[in-house]
Amino acid sequence: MALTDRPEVHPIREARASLPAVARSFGERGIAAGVYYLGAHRKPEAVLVPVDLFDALKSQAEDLIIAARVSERDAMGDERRYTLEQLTDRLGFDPHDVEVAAKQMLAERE
Amino acid sequence: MTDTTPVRVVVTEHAASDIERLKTDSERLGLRALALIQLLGDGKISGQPLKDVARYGDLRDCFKVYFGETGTAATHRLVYQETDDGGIEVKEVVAVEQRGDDYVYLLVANRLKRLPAETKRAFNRVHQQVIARRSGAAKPVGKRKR
Repeated sequence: MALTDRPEVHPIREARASLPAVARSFGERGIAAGVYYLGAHRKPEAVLVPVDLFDALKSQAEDLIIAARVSERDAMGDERRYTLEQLTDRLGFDPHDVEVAAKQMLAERE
Repeated sequence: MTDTTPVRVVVTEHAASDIERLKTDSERLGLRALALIQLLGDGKISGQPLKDVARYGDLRDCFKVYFGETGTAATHRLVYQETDDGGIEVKEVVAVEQRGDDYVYLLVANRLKRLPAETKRAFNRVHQQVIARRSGAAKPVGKRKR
């Protein structure tokens, strides 16, 4: 199947049952086995690919994953981050009290 | 712990507000939340990994640490997300909340924008209950009438 074709999307239940056969086909035919779309209600949500194909695409996949995670973080980007010292100061605690509490909690855990 | 990877612990604004509110409920619990953050940064403790479950979505990069008042049950959870920032391990505290109704895990999933669509309604319900409880207008949690 050409990847430009409209994919045949296998329902999750069917994919689960077909998984051993799909894996076997990937193992036997490698990249030539093509890809296997799955998703609920015929909506593609995931694709199974032979490991050789993924290895070939790995660096691109990693770039995309990193970019998506950066976007995910940017979406939360209005959030300020605090170090322990900054937070201790914001909450008006004495750093020494935090130290003492930390020692006590560690002792409780041991 | 023998791991020598540098660790940096940061606290998100949301989680900072969680601890601030906790402090207004119990000064001691607020202090203990900060103490936990110190222990995490010192590498003296580490959390237990969360899972990929239908209710919360995939939170496998997040970890929970239990705590509570001295000598009582661990009523609260501190949840942090572990990331790698150029070879430095970053633990980002995402939420500090009570465990009841699995609220803290729903809150983490919501804050990380990973809450499954089908759980959104359940989260909103628990969230409203928590807000109502805090404002002193709690209603008993029971079977909802259809």
